[in-house]
Amino acid sequence: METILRTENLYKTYGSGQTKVNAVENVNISIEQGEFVAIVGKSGSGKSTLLHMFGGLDTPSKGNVYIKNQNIFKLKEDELAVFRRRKIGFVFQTFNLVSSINVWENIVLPIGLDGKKVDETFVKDIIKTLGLEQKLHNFPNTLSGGQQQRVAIARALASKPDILLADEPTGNLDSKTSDEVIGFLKMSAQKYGQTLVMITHDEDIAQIADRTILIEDGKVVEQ
Amino acid sequence: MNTITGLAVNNDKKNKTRSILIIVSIILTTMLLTIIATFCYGVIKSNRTNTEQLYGSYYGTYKGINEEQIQEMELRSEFTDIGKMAFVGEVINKSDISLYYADKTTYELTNLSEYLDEGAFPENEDEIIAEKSFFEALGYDNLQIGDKISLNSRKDSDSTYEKKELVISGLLKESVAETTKKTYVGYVSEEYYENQVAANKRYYSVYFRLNDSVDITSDEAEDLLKELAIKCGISEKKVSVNDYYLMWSLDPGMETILGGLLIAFCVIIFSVIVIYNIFQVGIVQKIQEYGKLKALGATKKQLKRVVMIEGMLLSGIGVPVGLIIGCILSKFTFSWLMEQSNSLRAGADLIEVSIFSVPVLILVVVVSFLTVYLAIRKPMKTVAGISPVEAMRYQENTSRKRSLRKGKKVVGVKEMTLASLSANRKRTIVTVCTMGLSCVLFVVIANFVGNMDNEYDARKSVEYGQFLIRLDYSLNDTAYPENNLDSILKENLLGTDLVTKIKQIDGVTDVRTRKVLALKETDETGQETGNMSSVAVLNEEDFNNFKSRGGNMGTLDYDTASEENGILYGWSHFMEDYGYSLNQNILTQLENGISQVSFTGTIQGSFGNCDQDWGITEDTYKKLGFTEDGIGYIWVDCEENNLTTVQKELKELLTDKEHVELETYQDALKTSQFSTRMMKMASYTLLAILGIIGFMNMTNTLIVSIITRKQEIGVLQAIGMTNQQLNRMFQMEGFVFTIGTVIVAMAVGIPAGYAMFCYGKSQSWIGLNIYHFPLLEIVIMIAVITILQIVLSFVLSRNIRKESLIERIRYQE
Repeated sequence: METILRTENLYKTYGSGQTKVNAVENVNISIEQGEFVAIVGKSGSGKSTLLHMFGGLDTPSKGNVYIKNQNIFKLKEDELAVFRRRKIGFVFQTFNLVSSINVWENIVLPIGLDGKKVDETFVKDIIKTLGLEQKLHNFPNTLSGGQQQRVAIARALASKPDILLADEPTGNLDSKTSDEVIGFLKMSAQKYGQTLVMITHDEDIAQIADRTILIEDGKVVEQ
Repeated sequence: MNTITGLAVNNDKKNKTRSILIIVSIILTTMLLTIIATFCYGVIKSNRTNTEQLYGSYYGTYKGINEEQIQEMELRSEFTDIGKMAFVGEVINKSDISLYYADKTTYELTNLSEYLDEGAFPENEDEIIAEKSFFEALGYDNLQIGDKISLNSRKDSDSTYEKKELVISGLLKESVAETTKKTYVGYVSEEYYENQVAANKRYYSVYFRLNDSVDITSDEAEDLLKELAIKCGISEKKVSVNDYYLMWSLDPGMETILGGLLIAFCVIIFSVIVIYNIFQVGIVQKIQEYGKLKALGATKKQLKRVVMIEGMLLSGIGVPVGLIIGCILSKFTFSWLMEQSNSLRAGADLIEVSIFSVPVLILVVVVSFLTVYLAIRKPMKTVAGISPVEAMRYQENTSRKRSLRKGKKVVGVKEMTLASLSANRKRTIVTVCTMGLSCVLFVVIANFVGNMDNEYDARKSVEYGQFLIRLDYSLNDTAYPENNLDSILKENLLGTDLVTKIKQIDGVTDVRTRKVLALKETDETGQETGNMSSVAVLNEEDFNNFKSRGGNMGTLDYDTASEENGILYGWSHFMEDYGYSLNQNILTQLENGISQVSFTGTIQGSFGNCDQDWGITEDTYKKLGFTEDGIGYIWVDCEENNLTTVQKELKELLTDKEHVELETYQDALKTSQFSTRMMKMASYTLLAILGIIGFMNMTNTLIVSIITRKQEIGVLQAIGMTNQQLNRMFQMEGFVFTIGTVIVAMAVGIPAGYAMFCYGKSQSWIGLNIYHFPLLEIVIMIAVITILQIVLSFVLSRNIRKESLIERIRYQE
């Protein structure tokens, strides 16, 4: 199977000298095409920082991240932005939808920014899968949390990325909605053959992943 | 430090950008208020101090009164310091030269004594004092005190010129205005005057002051002076009031104060809006913080106090700094303005006054703090009114009424920008309106200043080209009939041969002429009935030019006037006074120096001012059978770089010709510029001040609009918006703001400016004649706004990227 994401001696350090803190320390992992990986750890263990570095949102102090053999930190700032919108789909804990445009527009925004034509059949299929057909013209903040997160998932999937990165996607949701969203996430990842990396501190959710990576004090303690 | 103050201090420290913006706004506001206040104070004080220097210290004058009337005045206790001045005679010369007699009191009251350069005022019969240029006009160069001169003068148009020998007793300082005007005055002694004019024919202009015990205000001055005149047996028509002196010495300077207050009011309004905007936005961002305080038990009053102290702390830094900068700027600009006006004036320099007054500065400080207080009233209420629960989940857009948006199939940068502008419609409109309003004042002023047209003003004297050669004639000189127009026309001084010679001068590019006729009214038998007057012969272009400058012309056009042998009165304002009316037929005899033609014309209208008593068309002139003679005006045009040589050659051509004047466009322009310079300077100073406010407002608006969307921009970048696209989005937004601003500024500013122009024109403000759209000023304004917006968007988008993406996305977490 093809390796989608690979890290090499990844470090993220804050401060220096006495106050030096290793948020991420010597992380070497690789994730295969189609895998569903859960990254688990306590609050402050460095799991979010790690995920942000996977997606090029944060820069490592040392080490490399390869997505499909492309060292993403070798890219220039604008090249990285383009790479992100084509190859990576993000789902955040706080949904992070753009409030001034409607649901449909939010979903197709990364494609629009890329200047590409929207594959309507594909996007409509995602929308149907996520049950958002009735909400396309709504503004995001008129939706419930679960609905907003489904829009975020649709947005992440719409540009057919190589990898889906989800940062505690259920952190802001109640348990019933959480199960629902995780269900959608897993289902769509499978349906569209997506690789999914998800951060969570919920053991139950971690259970349904193909593989769990446990992080403690920035280090991978168990794969 | 108690808890509340501590909280406020920390809030200010933590919101560094907001604090800096507010401090800068407060500094600018205080600075502007300081400048306005000190200028008003300085102008009033300087005017009071210098009013005597500028306008003389007499209350008024009675003109053309005799010695008995003066004695009456001397008997009355109301009058003090009575000074006499009398016209002694005119001097034969190409320039307009006259002789006057004045006594010592008049020298003092009119400040002439300040102009004494060397020597003394005339005492003996044969003594004279004047400016150097007076003697130069008479043909004497490098004269010293004690040198003898001779001149031909006469006391009125009924007397003959007599040759006089005079000794120079002193020289006066040159005044700029008089050299450009080409009129000169020399002063002679009382003895000279009395020997010239018989006692029963002596008429004086009397300058006087009133006793301090007389109760007088500048509004009632005219009535009071008239009343006193009647008591002395003087007709009230002979009264003239020294308005400027009385205005400044008796008036508290209300106009200046009102003007200052108006500008200060605008500044305060702008500042309140700007400071309010920054505060309000800051508070909306931090609403949860305030909500937490409330949840922890802070009372409404305490919350208000937090905001109040935040604002006052910032004022505490901004106000003193603004005050100091304002004082320094005022000091320098005021001194500079004084220097400028001194350099334009001859004689005594203006006395420089201290423009600072402690009470005025204290007032500025109080008003500045008040401005901040007004700005934070609403934010204080917002904070006090938060319910803790709501505050915890406060989101900026919760108030949106719409929940649906039709949207676009594809969303790119352009669609994003427009969506964001329309979603924040209220903010977009407020932004455009505040920016637009600060430009409105600019447009209004530009409409006014941009229309003070010196060239137009100068073109009223010299209509075409660079030089005007014109006949200098009298109409009713009985003693010297050869000075009258009909005689001068016979000399054919400005004949076609002269025109040919002028055309041959190197560098002359164009020569135009206009004919002048002498008009004598007659009765049916052809007998002359009245005085002679002059007629301008107008071609179609001249006709339309004069018509456009007012008067009472109705729909009359050139062709109709030609066909119907119309004649037009030259001064509409005086037409009735001289007993003429529309459609009246007048019987005349017209002369061009070669032939005489009887002409019956119908008065078809009147020009505002056509420089002659009457006007007829060129076609009528030809129909009457006149030849090409009778030229009264020659305009000469040449390239700018040939001005001096052409002027020299023209002077040479005209040396021997009496009764011919040479005026230059450059002189006319200088005279006009001289009078408008001060006006323009004041207006441009105001424009500069408004520019600063506009800039401050615009910077704030753009900063605020970008900072408040930090998180959203972070999200957009996270999902793949490039820096280039981000920059494009900002530019596009700025562009929409710019367009909106320009539309608001134009839509409000142009009509308001036009109204102000019309008002100014009706009040005869300097140089306002024809309304020109102030295109240049507006193009500059648009260019400045556009450039500022592009630079600001660029700087801000760079600045925002300094913070890492992650920090921004988590901004509100």
